[in-house]
Amino acid sequence: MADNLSNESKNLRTQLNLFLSGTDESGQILSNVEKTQSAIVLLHSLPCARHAVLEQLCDVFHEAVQKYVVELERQALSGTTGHPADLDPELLSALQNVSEVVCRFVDNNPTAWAPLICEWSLNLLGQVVTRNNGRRGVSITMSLSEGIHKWMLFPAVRRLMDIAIHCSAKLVGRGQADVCVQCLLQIAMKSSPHLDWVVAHIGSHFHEVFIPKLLSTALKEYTASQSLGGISGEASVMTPTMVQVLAYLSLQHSQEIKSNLLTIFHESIPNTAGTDIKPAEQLATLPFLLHVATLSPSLLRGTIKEFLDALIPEVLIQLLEQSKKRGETRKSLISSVVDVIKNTGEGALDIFQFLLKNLHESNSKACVDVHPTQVEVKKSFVLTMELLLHRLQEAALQRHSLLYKSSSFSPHTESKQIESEFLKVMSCHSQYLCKTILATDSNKAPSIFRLLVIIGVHSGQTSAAGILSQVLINCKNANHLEVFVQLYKELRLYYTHLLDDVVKTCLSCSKSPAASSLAQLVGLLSNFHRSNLSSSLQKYRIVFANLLSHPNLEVSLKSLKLVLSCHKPLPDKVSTLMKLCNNSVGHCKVHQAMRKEHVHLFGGILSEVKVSLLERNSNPHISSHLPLTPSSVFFSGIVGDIKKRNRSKTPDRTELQSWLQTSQLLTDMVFTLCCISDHEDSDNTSLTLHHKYVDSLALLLMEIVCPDVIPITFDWPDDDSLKFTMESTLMSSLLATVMANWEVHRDVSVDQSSLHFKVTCFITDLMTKASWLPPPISRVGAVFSLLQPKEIYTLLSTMWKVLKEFPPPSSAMTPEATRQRWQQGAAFKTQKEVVKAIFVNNIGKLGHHYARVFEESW
Amino acid sequence: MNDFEEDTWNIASWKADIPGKVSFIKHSLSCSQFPDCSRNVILMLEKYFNSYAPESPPNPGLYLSAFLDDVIDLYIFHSTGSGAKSLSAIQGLQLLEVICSCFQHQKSDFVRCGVFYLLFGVTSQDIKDGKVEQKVELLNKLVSMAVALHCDHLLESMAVWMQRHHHRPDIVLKVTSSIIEDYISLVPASLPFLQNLAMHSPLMACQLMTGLIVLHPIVNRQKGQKCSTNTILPPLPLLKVVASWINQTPDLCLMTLPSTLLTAGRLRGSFLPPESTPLPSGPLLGLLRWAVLMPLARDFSVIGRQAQHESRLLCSQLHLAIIQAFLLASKNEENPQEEMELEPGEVMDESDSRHLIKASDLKELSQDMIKLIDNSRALELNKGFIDQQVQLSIDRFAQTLQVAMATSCLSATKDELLSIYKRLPGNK
Repeated sequence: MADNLSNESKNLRTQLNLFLSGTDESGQILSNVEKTQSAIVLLHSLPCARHAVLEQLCDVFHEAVQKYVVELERQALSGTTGHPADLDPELLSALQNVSEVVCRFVDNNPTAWAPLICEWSLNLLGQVVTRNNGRRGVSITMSLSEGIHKWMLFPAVRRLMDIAIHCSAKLVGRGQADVCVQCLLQIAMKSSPHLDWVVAHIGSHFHEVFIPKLLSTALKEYTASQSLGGISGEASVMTPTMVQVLAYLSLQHSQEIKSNLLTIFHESIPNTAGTDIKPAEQLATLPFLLHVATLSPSLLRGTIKEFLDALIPEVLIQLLEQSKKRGETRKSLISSVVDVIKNTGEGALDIFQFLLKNLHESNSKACVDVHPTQVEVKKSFVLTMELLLHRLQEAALQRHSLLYKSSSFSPHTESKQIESEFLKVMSCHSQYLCKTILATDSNKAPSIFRLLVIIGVHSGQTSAAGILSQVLINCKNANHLEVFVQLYKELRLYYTHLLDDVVKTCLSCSKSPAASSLAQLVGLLSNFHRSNLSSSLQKYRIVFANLLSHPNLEVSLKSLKLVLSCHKPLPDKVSTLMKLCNNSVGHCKVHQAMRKEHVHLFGGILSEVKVSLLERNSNPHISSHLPLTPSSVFFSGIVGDIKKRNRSKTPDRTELQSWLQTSQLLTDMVFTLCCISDHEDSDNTSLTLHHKYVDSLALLLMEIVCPDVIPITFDWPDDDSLKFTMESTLMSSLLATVMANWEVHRDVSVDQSSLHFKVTCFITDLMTKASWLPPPISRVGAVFSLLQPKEIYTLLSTMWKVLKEFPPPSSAMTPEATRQRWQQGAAFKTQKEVVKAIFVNNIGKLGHHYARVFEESW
Repeated sequence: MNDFEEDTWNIASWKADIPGKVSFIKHSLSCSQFPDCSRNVILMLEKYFNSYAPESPPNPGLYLSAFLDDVIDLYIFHSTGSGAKSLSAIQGLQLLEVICSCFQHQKSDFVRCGVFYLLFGVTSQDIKDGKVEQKVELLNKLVSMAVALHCDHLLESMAVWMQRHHHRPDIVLKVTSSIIEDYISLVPASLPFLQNLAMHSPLMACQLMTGLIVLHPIVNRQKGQKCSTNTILPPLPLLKVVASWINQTPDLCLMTLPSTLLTAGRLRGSFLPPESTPLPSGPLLGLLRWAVLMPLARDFSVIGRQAQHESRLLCSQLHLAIIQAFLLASKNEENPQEEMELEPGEVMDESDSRHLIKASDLKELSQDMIKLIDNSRALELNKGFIDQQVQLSIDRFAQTLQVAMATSCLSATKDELLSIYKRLPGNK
């Protein structure tokens, strides 16, 4: 046996010489494969050579990787793709041999070999990867999973990974996970970030142990770096790597990571039973977690709620004390808190609510015995909220100026900075915020208000308009309106056509015919009306004008009010005007006609209109076509009937009152419409009526009241056409009707109370007022009651003739021009004689009227 | 090599222009490649010691000592502090091979021990400079290699080194445990090499045993320290190795070292101050402890039946070997060898066979026995089995005492022995 052994010893010496010299007995240089073989022999029998052997074994792996890379490059050059052909089979079998031997050692004595081999394989991996990074096929910019995919194609790398995983499994199985994790982390730190994928991949094999270990190690390292570097200038190497690795692991084990993060947090709070964390680490935990969250917001995703739940007042006080112990200025931590919040998407609303709640916690309580620390906690919250809003505002402003101001918008350069997940998510909750701001007391409102403004600025005009309209729609009282106005004033600075959108959005919101939206619409309109924005709303009169035709009376009334509240003249487009009138008048008429209980009020509107127009007519510069108004039609036709039907009824007072209001409104509107000047800058106070508008109005009224009337040409119809086209024009038809009536009248005297008589008087009166007729015939209307029907008929037909000869002028004329007009024609003299003859015949009755009728003046 | 160079490389021949020669040597060393430079340093040192007789070892002056220190630091230890590059693992292995072969080819014991001590002796200066660590590390590997490659000469030098550092148990035990770790735990396949050690270098085997017994005391003396049962009990392979050693050569336990070797090469620094209790001078008492305490200490519930049986067998082999050793010692006493020279300051007074075992040692051992017996009874395992084990242990204890007394290797009064007996449970 001794001989055997000394032989063996001799052999060993030979192998050692072979190994060390790298040449065989004949001086031939050994290949890597051969060296590997002799190395394995030494590994089996010379314990002290193990390190050297392992070092030698690296060569064969390097060679394999090198060959693979060269092969990849060759393929890339030749244009072929795909998996490189098998490497040198000898090399592959050497690799296999090594990994088998090494794994056997680990199996036989894990305690001694597993850490050694684990470290070796990981180190070698680090070398291989670092050395070949940047070569073709593998690049440093790869993501973790890409890295795994690419590198695992390398046979040598795969072998090494297998070995490393084998070792770590052994270590973990024996409860020595610490060793393994330590080893992994050391390697990771040494060749970070090249080896992050290795750490992540291996770590995922025993994640239950790995994740907490990783976290606690990183925390330790972070603590150390904090206490050494003082400020965070001495950044820890471990944490970024850890975050990378965790981010990878979170693909599969996110729940575990989250619970571990939470555990760390809970352990950091003093008084928690059963923690064996050092005080220094406890103190460093919060900054550490914040650091982690800053590096990777996604890691905290889903934990926000739990974190917030954990932050009960007692804990907050403890955290405050911790921060005092850390001796840092409170702001530094708050700043990073704010950073984290800014980048937190999920749970943003929860965070905001939490901040709000704590901001005003002690305020709501009776401030009898508030703990001083509680006050300080509150202060911190105030500071946090302030800073958060400030940062968000910055981000929003940057984004805004980038999107709306600069033409050369490059999304890559600054898009990261200006993005805020928090704002993105919060903008989805803007509806909620709008409701809250209106519902809450004045305490919380400023913060919500500012946030709403920021959201508005951040997420664009549509969104801003959405916010405004939400607020507006939900406005219930003056305070609410004030909020809206303030909000609008803020946001208006950022968007040019904001109100446009607001109005549009509002109206589209309340478009659906449901009762609730109807009420909303009414509220909205009155809100518009009361919001003192009339001057700004002027542009949208058209929009509101469209609402005039809304089937709901209240809606149309509100919109009418709104339109009227716009002091500025309406746009000088006839079509607009037409539409407006059409809507308003048409609506009123139709509406009233359809609702019988209001029918009796119709007279009211007529009289009102008349009064109003009369007033206007008192203006000497105006000549209008009043006879063309539909009032006469009403008077002779429909209205008469209505009046008859309803005379017995006494109108309900309140209804009457409301109707009076309505009609006043209408009158005002019509008046306003007609007062529009062509020139924007003309003086509004003069209230000049404009001819063309009045014309249009008349036409419109005609159209509405007598839908079957042929459009007016403004030429008085021919005498002959009288019988055929009695209704051809409004006035002539009226006159004709009246004439026909008198012609067949066989009574000796006139019944003054008859409708007939009144209509006649009215018509003549109107024609007189319109200066259609020359004196004296224009003045005979006053004496109709003293005449016989036959005589009245004669006078009326004389009027007809005059009108035939002098059709009513199409435009207003000066009195002088009118007089000149009369003096030219024959009808002028005729009418004078006819009137004179009638006076002569009835001189007894009419004598004292003569002077008045035949007065020379005009 | 021409005459001039011959002269220059032999430090002993330096008479004049010492600084010039020093710089010449430094320069030529720096020009030579690794591992030649390391080899040259060792050869130079050997040449230096070769020029002196063992009775009058060289005593270099301060200047020369400093030069030697420098060179050794740079080319043997490659300590990074001295500006050299640290070696790769393969180069480290190469260095070991160079040192081994140098020592293997040196015929003079005196030169080997001198050079070895010059290279690896731990001085108080080393402790101050923090160089102990690297020395011990290199030593570990060196010894480990020497065991496998049968570098008997180097092992011998190492044994001397261990003896000379026996008042610094921490250092010696480090080397011991590292060798055991290498052969028993890391590469069990290489265990035969270790088993064979006693044949090649009985001195080294003896020193190793001394260390091993301290490493695995079975019963922990210091109450403050809590050792796991794994380290406090000798592992089975180790037991096997030790048993095979002393069965082949029972006089291993009685080995002593030639005093000339113990003083060679002490060149520099002050003598290392003793620290705590020194290592025992021989393994005999420790082996007795193993033989007596093992039956009581083995946690039988853990170990398998096979291992249990094996361990029992090995312990009885140990027991036999101890008794044989006593017999041998008494024989040696009858034919006394030449008187050994004792250096002042060296603790060699126990080499006398009459002091192989003292009453105080026995007292301690009996206390440990009682402690273990109480422990195992408290556990209330298999009572019959425990009684059996206790009986075995006490039998061994009594038999050994008997032989020791008969061979007059025991120095104790009757009263002392009686007080010990009274405490132990009676045997059948």
